[in-house]
Amino acid sequence: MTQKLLELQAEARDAVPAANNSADIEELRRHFLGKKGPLTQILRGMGNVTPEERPIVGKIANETRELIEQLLAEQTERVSARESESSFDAERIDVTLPGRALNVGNRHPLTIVLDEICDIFTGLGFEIVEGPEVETDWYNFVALNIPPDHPARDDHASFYITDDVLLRTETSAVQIRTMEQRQPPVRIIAPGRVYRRDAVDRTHCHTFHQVEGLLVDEHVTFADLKGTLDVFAKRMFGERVRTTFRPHYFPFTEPSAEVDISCFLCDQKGCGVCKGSGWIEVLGSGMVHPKVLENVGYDSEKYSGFAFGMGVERLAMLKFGIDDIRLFYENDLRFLRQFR
Amino acid sequence: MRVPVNWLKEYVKIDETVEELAHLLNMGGLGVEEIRGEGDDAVLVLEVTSNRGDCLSIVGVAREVAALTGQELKYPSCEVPEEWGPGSVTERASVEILDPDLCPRYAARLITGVRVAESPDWLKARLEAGGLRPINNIVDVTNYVLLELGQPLHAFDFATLQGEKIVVRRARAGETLITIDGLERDLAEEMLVIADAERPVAIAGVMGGLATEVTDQTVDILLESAHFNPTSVRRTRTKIGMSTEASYRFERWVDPSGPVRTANRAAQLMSEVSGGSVLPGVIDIYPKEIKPVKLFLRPSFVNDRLGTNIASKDVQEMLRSLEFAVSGEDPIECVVPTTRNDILIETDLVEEVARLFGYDNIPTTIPSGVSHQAGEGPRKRLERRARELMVRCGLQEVWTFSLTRPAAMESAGVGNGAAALQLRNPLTEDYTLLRTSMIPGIVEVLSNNAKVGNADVHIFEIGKIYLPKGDDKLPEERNMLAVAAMGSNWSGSWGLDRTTVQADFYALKGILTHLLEDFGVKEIGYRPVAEGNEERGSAKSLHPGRRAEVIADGIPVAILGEIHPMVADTFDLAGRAYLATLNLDALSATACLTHRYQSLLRYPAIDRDISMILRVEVAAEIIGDLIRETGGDLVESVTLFDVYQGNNIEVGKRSLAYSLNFRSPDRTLTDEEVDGCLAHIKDALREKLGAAIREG
Ligand SMILES: [Zn+2]
Repeated sequence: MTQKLLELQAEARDAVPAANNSADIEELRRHFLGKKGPLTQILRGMGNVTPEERPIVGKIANETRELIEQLLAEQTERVSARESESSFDAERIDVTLPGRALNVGNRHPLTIVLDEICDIFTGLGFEIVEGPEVETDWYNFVALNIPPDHPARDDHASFYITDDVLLRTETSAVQIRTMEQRQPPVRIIAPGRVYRRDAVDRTHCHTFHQVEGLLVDEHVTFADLKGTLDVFAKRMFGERVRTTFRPHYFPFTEPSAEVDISCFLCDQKGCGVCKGSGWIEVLGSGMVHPKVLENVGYDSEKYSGFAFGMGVERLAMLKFGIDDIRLFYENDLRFLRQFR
Repeated sequence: MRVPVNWLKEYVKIDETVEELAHLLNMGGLGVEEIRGEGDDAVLVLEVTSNRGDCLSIVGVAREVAALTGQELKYPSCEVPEEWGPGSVTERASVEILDPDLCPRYAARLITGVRVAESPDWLKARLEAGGLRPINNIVDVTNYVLLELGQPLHAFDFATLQGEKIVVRRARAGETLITIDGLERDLAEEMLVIADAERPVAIAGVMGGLATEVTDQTVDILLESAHFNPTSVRRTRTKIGMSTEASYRFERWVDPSGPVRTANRAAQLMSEVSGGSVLPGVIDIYPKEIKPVKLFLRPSFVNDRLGTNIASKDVQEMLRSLEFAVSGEDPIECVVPTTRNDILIETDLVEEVARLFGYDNIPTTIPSGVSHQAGEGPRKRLERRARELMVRCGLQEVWTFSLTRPAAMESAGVGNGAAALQLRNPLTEDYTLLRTSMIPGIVEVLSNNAKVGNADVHIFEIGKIYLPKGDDKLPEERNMLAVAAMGSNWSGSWGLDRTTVQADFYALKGILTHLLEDFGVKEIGYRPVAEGNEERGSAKSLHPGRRAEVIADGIPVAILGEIHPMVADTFDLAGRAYLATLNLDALSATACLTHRYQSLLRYPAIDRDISMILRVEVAAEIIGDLIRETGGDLVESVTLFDVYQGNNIEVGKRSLAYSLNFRSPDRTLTDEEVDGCLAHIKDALREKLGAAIREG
């Protein structure tokens, strides 16, 4: 019997690996392990075996079953791997064909910069406020300490609708409207569209955008102004950027300052953007003029504040290396798609 | 203003290099725009801000340099070699000021026997370095003193002055004057003129007259040195439309203490270069004395505003270096020199201290506190949300101008601009009014892109339109969203059905629906806009058969449709294009951006399809509503999955197929229940809409 079992094992070792497909393997399974198969037959003849031999034969019989089952399992795996391989082969695609998706929409580059500015100041605890673009002479000029016939009006060539109504030339007008409505502390930024009666060229446009900032409270200092704008410049243009403040003149601030940032393009070695100076002018700022505070009924002895204003187009041009302001309004998709 | 460095060095010692000097001035408040040339030949081009009339001269700049470097300022000599001629100036000429409000001071001298000729080289060189063109020795001296001391002067040919007299007065109605540039100027009554006994001979502070100008024949000179009211000069030169070196300085302030000194300086130089004799005496009419401003400055106020800790004696020293008369410790009493008209209040002194102390030396601190309203308000948040959604839908944002022109509006079918706010002083014909519709701008973007070969354009803009509001001074500034699309918005479209990748009405409708759902609108309706109703929402820009008004919870908020073929043609759009405009403000009141969670239904759903043929006039919305209404709570969703019109379907009819999803929140539905409900729905479709249901 032992002999028969060993022969069976040899037979299985030859036959099973030769099976080519799953049908043949099923056929072999029936042949070796079926009810009429040789193994079942042998086990049925166990009654004739002596009690001493029975455990030995039983052990070999089990080993034989296990071996055959293992051979069948291995062959099944081999065959099915081969079979699916050939069907994958039939489904092969060209992975180098171009991808296909709905286009990605992007924000306008000015939105990207404006959002960034607003996020920085929001993080510093500022509130975003808005005001009208069509303004009265009072809010745009007089309340900001620019009375009629003031020479500073020369720097603000304005589009007029009537004698008293014009397109605002700066977002500073929003300062007044906000302060009129509330008592200090005031901590706002006002983004928006402004207009100047300027001919259009690479760096000028009749329409552009500003972000105005204002902080009024007790004991607000020029040092606070410097600190706030230094933080802004670093967030906007990188931690290595330094700021410097130069005295300037704005009718609505006293003292006033222009703010330069160290050129982040050339590390202050001098390049076209900083015109070789290593510094780039980016902001106007100053301590709110007492007359402006008094114009909205604040006590200018008790309260002080700072204000600043920046051109969004200018910052965007610096940040993205754009050399022509007109590109922002031509809306050529080849331009707009570059900003994500 | 141009400042030749070697000229500057006549009045102040400068140890610094030109670059160091430029830096010093920049950080002290006099912006150096450019350095031309090198070393002592260098010329600084300064940007003098409009509050610093005192710096519009070489000596004025030298005064700043002296204050910034601690050097001493040396004034030029103003001593006149007076000669005893035929009488003194007061015997030969007279000056009368009739309008002292516009001319507080007028000084004059007479220089006789001059020989008008070309200036010596040193004088010509100085003027040219200062940016002025030499004319003759007399005029050149007036210009030299203008550059040196900032006082504009005028030289009259004394023989041409009628009655040997100067009268400073407002112009009279109808008076005219031919100015030295040869133009005849109409004088308005509010303009201040210099007249002789008969007629105006100069526009005060702006330009002299041709009839009395210095010529080769001139022998005697009347030299004018005056202080004019800045506002008056500014108004006059604005009205005349001409700015001169003189008016530029007068409107920014000329030292009222200076006229006699500067007249002396000029007389001295004139006699030197022209051989004339200076008559003894000066006419000095000063009816309205301008007294120096006196202020008190608390050192504590300086430090509270700057965040510094500067001692009183340092503050005093700084102010003294700027020629302020200073006394006292706290407060410090300051008498402001009359060269400065920009120092009127205590805070103005703080700025003087700050800039001399050096802005760079002021510490850097972060203000404490936050606004309890920090961040953006509801309107801004809505705008941001709309922008995000548009971007998520694959649209590219654009920004167009708010200014436009009637022709663009007309071509886009949004009126002729007559009702819009008009600019009174437009710069060009392209931008004359404020838009009342977003349509012309966004269609122009399609058009401009088409012109450069971008055929596939899917864009949106968030911006304002400006609607005049009855008698209100200011218009309504309405926040709008505009969307426009043409061509495909796929990054690749091989293998896709052409019609599914091209923009169409329904693609845009899908996007608008996304937006309205995001804003929490509960009922969204799309109504065709009938002919005759186009005025509503600028629908004239749209194809009459393919346009709709969008109703959000009962309020019309948007229009959308295919761009009218005539509009498309005018703007050179090759294929069909689509647009929508939406009133964001109309939605902001009701918008709800937070969507509450709805529980997921756990019981299994049962699907059934209905396919039917109906007349084309039966709107899909009516069919969907009827199905939902009849199916009641058991119908969870109704999805249209096929629309067909054409072969095998009778003309005037179309086939529609819906997939219905039945589900109950509290139990498992049986097939019998669902089929019963489906039968009701089919009956209703047959009876109410005349649908032929396809069975099986
Ligand atoms: Zn650089």
